[in-house]
Amino acid sequence: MRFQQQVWRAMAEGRSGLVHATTGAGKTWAVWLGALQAFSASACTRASPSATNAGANSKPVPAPPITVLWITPMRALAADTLRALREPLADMAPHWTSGLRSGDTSAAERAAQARRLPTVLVSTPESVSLLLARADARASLQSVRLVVVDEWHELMGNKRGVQVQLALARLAGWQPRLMVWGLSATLGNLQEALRTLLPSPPETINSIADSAVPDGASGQKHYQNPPDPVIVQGRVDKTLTVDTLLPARAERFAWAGHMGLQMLPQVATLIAAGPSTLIFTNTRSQAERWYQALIEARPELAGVLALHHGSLDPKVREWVELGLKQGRLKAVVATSSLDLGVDFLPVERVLQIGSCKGVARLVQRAGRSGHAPGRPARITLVPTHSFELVEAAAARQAVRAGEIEQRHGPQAPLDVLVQHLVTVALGGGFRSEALLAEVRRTAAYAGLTDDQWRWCLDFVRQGGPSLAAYPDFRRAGPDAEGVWRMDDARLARRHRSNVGTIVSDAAMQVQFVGGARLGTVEESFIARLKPGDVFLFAGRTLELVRVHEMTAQVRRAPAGRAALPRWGGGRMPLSSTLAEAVLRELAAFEQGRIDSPEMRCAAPLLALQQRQSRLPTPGRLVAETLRSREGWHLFLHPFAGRTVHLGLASLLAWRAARGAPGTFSLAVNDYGLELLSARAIDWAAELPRLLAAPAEAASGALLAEVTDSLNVGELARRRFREIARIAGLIFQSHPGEQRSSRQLQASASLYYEVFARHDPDHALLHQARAELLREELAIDQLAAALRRMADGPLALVPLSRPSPLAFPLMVERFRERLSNEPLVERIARMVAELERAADAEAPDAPDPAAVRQALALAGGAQERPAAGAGGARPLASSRARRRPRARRRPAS
Amino acid sequence: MNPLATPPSPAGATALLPGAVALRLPGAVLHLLPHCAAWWPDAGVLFVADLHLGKAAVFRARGLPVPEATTTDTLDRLSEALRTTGAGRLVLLGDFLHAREARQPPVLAALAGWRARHAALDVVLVRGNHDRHAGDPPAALGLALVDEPWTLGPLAACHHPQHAPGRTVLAGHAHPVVHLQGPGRDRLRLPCFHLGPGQLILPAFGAFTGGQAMRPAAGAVVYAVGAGRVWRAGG
Repeated sequence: MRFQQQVWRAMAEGRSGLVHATTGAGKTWAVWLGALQAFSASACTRASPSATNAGANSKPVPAPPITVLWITPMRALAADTLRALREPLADMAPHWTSGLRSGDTSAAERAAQARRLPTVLVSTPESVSLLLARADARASLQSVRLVVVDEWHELMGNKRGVQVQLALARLAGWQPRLMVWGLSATLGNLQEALRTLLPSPPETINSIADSAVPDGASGQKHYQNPPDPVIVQGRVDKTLTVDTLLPARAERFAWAGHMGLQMLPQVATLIAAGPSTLIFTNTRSQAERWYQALIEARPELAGVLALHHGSLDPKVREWVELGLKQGRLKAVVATSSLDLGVDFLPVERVLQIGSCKGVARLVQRAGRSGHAPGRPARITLVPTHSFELVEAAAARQAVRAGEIEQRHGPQAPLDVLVQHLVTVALGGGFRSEALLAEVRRTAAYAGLTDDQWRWCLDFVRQGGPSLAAYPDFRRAGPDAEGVWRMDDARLARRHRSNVGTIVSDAAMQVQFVGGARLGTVEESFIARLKPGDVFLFAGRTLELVRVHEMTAQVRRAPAGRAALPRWGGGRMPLSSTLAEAVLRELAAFEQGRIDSPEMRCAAPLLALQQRQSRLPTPGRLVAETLRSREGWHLFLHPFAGRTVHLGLASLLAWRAARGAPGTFSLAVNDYGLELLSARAIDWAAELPRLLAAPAEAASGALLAEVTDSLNVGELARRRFREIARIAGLIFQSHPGEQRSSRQLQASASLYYEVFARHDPDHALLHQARAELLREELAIDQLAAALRRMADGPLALVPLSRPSPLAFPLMVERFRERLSNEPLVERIARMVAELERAADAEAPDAPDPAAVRQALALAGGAQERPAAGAGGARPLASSRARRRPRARRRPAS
Repeated sequence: MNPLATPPSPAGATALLPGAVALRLPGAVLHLLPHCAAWWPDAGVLFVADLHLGKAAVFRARGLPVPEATTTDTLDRLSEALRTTGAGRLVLLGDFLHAREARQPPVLAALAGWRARHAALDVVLVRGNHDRHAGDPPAALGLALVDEPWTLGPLAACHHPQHAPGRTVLAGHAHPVVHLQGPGRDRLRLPCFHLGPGQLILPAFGAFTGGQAMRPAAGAVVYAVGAGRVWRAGG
């Protein structure tokens, strides 16, 4: 166990660091035993000078104050982690106490923790922020000597990671010798992961002791810079096998997003025959559907097959995790809720339903199997449509070549900072200069400008830089001594119940009438149901009886058709690493090198694409045009991943609309994009102009162009929703909570409109655009993609019917729009369409259905939801489309 | 306040304002205006619903920064509608003030200024649910305060959508909007009038108000408001 010794030595020297390895390699143990060695003795004998003023020491063997803070990204992991950490405690540090703090923690335990925190506390980023919002935050947390951030790769790329960075900077300000250890799966950029995690050394040594906040300076005077951090590579002796469950007849296999139930019989056989199995899906609704279908197919699985996802009641989740550990369960259908941590599950086999979307994720999920040392890990991919066969072959190649995705942290998100300001104002208050210095120690805010800082202060103090625009507003502000505080109890309560950066719909409790709680679903889903409607949840078919306050009361439904819960958040983009690998597979196919079972299986459909159009390859961009009842279509297949395609589609639509006013509907998937115009447009003639790449030097011009395209589009507005929520403009109500704030309801889009009109320089509007460019649209990748497209040969194919690659785009229901056409013309066209629809007695069959028939891609018709892609267009399909997800109640 | 004894003039002879749509109701012809208001030319009465004045101030008072300009924006548009129609009477169909905290000096000053500019105007407020929480507006504004249903000839002015036998109900409260879809998968969300049997629901007039998508009930007609026009949009 060499790597564990490395960790222990580093910890004994007081170093921080990052341990990376696949799941199951023992990262948790390495760091935990290191922590016990480093702190249990000293804490016991009080040898450490830093563990001072920890309160009354009258008891015989007092437990040390909180020393280790263990942050996990998911509530589901917290309980498991605590169990694991407790195992060696009795032997190695019997005087230590341990506890859990997450959204699931009971009120009684919270109260106990309010008096005194345990020596080791397992928590989530959100709950840590809540601890920082306690008025006695410094007194209760300055004894923390070690923070372990579990699954750092999951956090570093998003705003929760920024929240963790801010918390670490705060703790490091109170405890200069703070050690920080990250546990991570393997990433393409480990150095950056480490840099993002650790607070940089403070600007001047002296400012530390005096910096932080009012209540008495107990800082160390003779403080030295900490020793250099280390990166430790964990054990990687596992071999990884990636294989694919092949469909019996690939030519009957679907092209577009299905639940993948065609593969059900084979999966059921595997589970029934095989050893313990984990079945990963990408969305909760898919997990529900698969669970139900497996039970129907193999009734004998009832009792040994379970379901696990983040919406289920914590008790249910815990029962499932325990059952898996004790070997009671044969198989579990799970979402990413079982992706991470929980190192000790004895699973022999892992199935992945649908695309794994990225190489790192594939490796991570595969790591769930074959846990005993030396056992091979194996993951079996279950494709849900034909192109996932190609993805599977590509993923295996990428794993073999060691191509792992990189992750990058967000840069200076002001919404998170604004939230942090209020948190710290509640948690004892702050002085502006001291907190600015502290915040700049994080990687996310190292480049924060003075202007941005001032804007954030203004925002919480008076609404914005211009006092006149926001009369009578105040959230927090400096007192007579210049210490910023928040003294409105009502605002404090609201802030505490909305801390965090996870944006989801308001959650609604699902409960049997007068009986057990099952879990929570999004309010927007329940809002679409009427009493008597039937839906799948928690592995049961339920009938909605009534909605009372924030609880949906249900009863078991008689057998019959069920609506599926449609949870958001299932749209993870294919990583560009994997997308490039897919293109290489296609190029190999074209050259006749077909050397994997997956590619042999996909061959007939790839040949169909070749016949009707061309295959995209790393060097060749394929463009297709089509005229249908819906309008004039342009399909491009750059294989650059969903996010880049979205940026590309907005940019191309913007360029097209600059020639002549128009309205474009945009659809993207991981392989390509579609522009659809209601008016005649000669795409073939327009293409060279649309695809003009920026000169190497002129990428600023491209940026300006994309920014312009965003201003007329809807993307920034949508992005603003998350920002408005994090910055505390809109807030969530929680299950069981009275809707006491009825008069404060406004949607994010309403805020967006009001700001855009009356405060157009609002920094949060700028942030929405900046985030969109950098994170969603990946402007650098976009410029690169454009250049690649302009350099390579263009294959332009006029289609008479959709090609296999074009078809999934054509039936994609989640669409963006871009328009610079006069509103009056758009309305006139829609009203005319309505009248036509009213005149026609029976609407003709919609295009996609005819297309599907023509392509003879029959599979899976029975699993398609009623209002699916092929549904009638006017009005009826509106509920299936993406709605603005902010809460929309009658604002009455 | 006595219900006005309507002096009925020859019906429907008044010219339509640009972008407006005439609506023939039993006993009255109403013009649906692109200002999100309903105009009864024969009686010289303008109806608007759901101003939610001071909503931004309420938000600010409770720690949510919304710029002040929305109140003046709403009042300016109201003045514009009054000027265009030359209405002698304004009927507010409820939810005039958003909440008790809406009575902030900037809001009240803006309101007083607006009233001074329309000193001769007869203004009736049908109390809505928000008005009950907010309390009656300052007496100095000189509004006639009534409870729903407040009958006005063949019409019944209300806040909550309801039915009044023998009369057409004009109501607010719902903030109706409609989703339109067109060729090329185009979509728009627009405020709308919703005309059901014996009932016309007006769109919210206030600048800082949301909307709720309405699925037109059977036999109902929806009139969308957009691009300076009122559009009959299905039903």
